[in-house]
Amino acid sequence: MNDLEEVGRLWADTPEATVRDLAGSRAALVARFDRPRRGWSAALRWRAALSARRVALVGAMAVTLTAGVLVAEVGLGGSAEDSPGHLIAAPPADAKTLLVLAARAASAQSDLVPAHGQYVHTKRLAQNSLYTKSASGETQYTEVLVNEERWEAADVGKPWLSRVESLSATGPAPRKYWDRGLEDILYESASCPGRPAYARLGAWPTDPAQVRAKIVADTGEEPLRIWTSLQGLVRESVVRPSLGAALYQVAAGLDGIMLVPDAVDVAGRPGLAVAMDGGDGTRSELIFDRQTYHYLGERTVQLVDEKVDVPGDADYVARKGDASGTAVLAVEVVPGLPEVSPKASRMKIPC
Amino acid sequence: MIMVGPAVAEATDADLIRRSVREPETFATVFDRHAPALHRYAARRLGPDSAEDVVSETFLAAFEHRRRYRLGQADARPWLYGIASNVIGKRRRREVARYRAYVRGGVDPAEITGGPVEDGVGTLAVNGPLVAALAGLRAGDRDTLLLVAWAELTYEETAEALKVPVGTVRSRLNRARRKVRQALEGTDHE
Repeated sequence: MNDLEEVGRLWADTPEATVRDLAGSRAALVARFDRPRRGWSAALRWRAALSARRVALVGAMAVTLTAGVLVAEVGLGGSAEDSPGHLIAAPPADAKTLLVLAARAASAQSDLVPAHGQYVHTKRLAQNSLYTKSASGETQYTEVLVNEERWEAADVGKPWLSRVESLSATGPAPRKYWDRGLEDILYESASCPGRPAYARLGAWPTDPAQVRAKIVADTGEEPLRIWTSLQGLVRESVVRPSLGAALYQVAAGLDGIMLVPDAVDVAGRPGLAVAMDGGDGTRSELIFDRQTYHYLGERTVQLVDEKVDVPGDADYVARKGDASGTAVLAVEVVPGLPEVSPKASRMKIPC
Repeated sequence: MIMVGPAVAEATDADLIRRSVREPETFATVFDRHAPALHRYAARRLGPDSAEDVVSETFLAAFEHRRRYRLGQADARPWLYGIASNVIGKRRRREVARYRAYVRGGVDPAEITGGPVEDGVGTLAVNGPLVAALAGLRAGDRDTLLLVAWAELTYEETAEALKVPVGTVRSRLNRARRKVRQALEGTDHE
């Protein structure tokens, strides 16, 4: 027996931890899932540091999504004649006014109320940032468009489905690094109260003061932390506009919000945005339709070149103007789950 | 309609971590996959009482930093054990004190789950010098040795975990193993 094997035998019969041993650690982790992190923007970036020799310059071309976007825009309400925007000639002068108008528009919408057995289907277009390295070690940026869909059961205890599929990319990253085909995850847990989003949001109040108090209980009073929490809640609350209205009113009271009059969501739709500087070289935006003031999506934009330290040989530079975010394309009630991919991952996640 | 198939494709750790940025609950699966073994590794280094703290701190840190996970790496173990090494490093004095307590024979047996080596020659006389050698290693050498010997990471994975070149892993391991061999040879001569 060599020395390494001798070391390997030391306390070798220490057992792996049981579920019971790990219950405390797991509970601490799960409790963190809904808590916003200080100063952490909600944007997703794929910070893949890929081996230089594996990354070839392929010059991928973007594939536009115009048709899908136009259909969805109509589906989301467009600019109806009785919309608040139609009645107001001038655009809102500041972020607070925009949020008040957005709250009013959301209040006029009905919450989706799926019947037992039905599902709430949401479809989003996500723009992700994929960072790779060239053979010379230079950071390369690829913008990836991803279809993200969820089917969330009206009933607690039913399975629900999350689906993602990369659609196109603009940038040098080889396709194998961004296109993983259609990826389904079927969550079979669902005996947890409060998951998924539809069930969780149903328990939220819609009075702005109560909503604020509930958020602040987690975040404290720092505006940026409240904003970060709001972003996530707004993204999910498309299924429940009455909550969205309260969230916009909470946002209207935050110091540091600003109006972006010429925002564009990741689906290319022009809009008005309320933004906040993340203090980390990024700005995050909630984007609303210019005329209806309905929520279109959210986006995080890199304001300055930023060297991002990643352990190992994976540091990269996020460039000014890099953006990521999501655009809401459809929210609807459907009778059931779609056909699930035979390669779907099935997950049972205890509460 | 749900298609039910017998074969269930298993998402890689990288898939789950990427997904967890917008769906945090998927990170629970990463925990369920790796926490039991990571707990065992921590228990061998620090004792069972500290192992839960190490696991908790490791996964909370991993969750907070999941956006920076290297998606090219399907298996999250090097990443998780690297974080765990940092967490254990903050308890270095406790770890060394534990080894020394064992060498002195004064450790409460209940603290060392399962006891030391179990076979016929598994005595303090054999293990004492070995554990003393562990206690005497440089921190980086000990991390390297134990990631290979206990966590069963490859050299490349160990390099990834500790954020050092593979050559450094080799040299650290050679140094650590030389000291272990010296300790074992000393035992033979007794």
